[in-house]
Amino acid sequence: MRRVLIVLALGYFSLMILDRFTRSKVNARVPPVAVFFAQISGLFPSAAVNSIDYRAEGWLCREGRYVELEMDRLFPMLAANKENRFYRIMHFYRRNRLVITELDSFIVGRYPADAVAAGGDRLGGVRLLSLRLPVPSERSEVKRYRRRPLSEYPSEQRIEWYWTPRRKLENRCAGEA
Amino acid sequence: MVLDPQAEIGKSVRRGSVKALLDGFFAPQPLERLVFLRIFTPLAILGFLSLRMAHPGDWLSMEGFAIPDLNGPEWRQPLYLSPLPVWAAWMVCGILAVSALMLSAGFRTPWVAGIFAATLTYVTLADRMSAFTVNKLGSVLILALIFTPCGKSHGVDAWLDAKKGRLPPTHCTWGNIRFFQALLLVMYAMSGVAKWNGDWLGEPMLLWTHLHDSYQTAASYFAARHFPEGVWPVLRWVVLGFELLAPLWFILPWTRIPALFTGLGMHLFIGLFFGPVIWFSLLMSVLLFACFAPISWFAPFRAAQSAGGGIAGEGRPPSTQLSFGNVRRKIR
Repeated sequence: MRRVLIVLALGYFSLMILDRFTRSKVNARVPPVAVFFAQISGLFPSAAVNSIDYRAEGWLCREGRYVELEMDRLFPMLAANKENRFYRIMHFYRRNRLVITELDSFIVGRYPADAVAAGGDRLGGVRLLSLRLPVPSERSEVKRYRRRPLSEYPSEQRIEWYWTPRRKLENRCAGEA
Repeated sequence: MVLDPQAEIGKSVRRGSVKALLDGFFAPQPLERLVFLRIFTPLAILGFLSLRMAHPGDWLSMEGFAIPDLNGPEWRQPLYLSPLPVWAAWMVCGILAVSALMLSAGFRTPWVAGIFAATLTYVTLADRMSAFTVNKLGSVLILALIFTPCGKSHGVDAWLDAKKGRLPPTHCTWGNIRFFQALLLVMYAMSGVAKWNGDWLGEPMLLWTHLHDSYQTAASYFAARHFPEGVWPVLRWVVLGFELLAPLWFILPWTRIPALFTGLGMHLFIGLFFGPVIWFSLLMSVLLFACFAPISWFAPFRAAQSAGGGIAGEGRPPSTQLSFGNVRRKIR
């Protein structure tokens, strides 16, 4: 038993080291679960150029415009910071069509009706975007972090990653699935 | 007198004797380090999890958004696990909390360590979005604790044993401690390599650039605005040097204590300046202290053992306190 444990421990340490030096080769040859638990040593390797935040807008069928959605209503866990699940989904999967389409359906299907808008309007689609807020260049420019409404950010700080296709959006607004 | 095998290694290094160095490495280790890990590691992990456990529906159940099966393993989804019904998500959270507290209390230790490790591994794999260093590393630490005699002292199991006249051991075999020490050193060194290959050499204000997002605390805001600019490049070199050369700092006896304080200071900095990362800082501080603090600092964890003795897992009857020399002789 002791020898087995020693071999396992050495294997784990080797994986941690190899993952740092030859990540692609390790990923190809070792069970992904083992690699996953060995990837624990890459904290803050890069400088931050921007502070990144993720936001969602919903298309109001009757009003025919986008409004910002409060994603903490659907993702309440750690809503105030970037460990929130919506942030993490966007961080990992914003380029994954399958995941992002499922997220679209989830938001449209689950977003509380009372929160959409006064007057019983409903969501037909979403627009998912990131905000890239430049890190200040001087100490005197440092501000206390505060989450502000999307409308307060200029368009050049926004990157749109996904929007519901027009046809799907029109079908939803027309009452189809 | 109980001698610290760490100190023996230090003497070996000073004497330059490879054989003495190896003897020190393979010598029995004080059980206090394991006991400290058993008590505080589950609590640090539980603190991290508590922020998730308040929302089991969002975290683990069909009520929240679940990443679909991506049809094949990839680094973002090493294993697909279906979301749970809401009641099952609550149950998993309950099991996590109870098993962590039982492990910390040293009650039915190997069993609850197994349950906690399995549940923690499950939640870490089930939701990639909530997988951070704390629960990844935590799963490995708790899994390792299963195979150690960490419950033999300072816990309910030890108290029950004492009632039956069985006294706790004072030492455990070398691998029980060396695993955690090696894990910590490899982790620091590889973290240093990641920084070296990243932007740490080219960006003197690197730490400062990370103080402006949603991790910002009142302390980090104050520091970002008021600390002299010269502080940040110095801190960058301290962190990089500490991590990259951690194996050296902790193996050499004369740098071990300064390195311990540097490491604890670094984790204090992270905990104060990066909001929710405080749980990571606590876990790493526990691991660092348990692995490398001088054994004399564990005095509160030794009192109950004073009447006991022996090496856990060696199948020997308890004896009086063991000196480093006769422990080695007895092992042979």
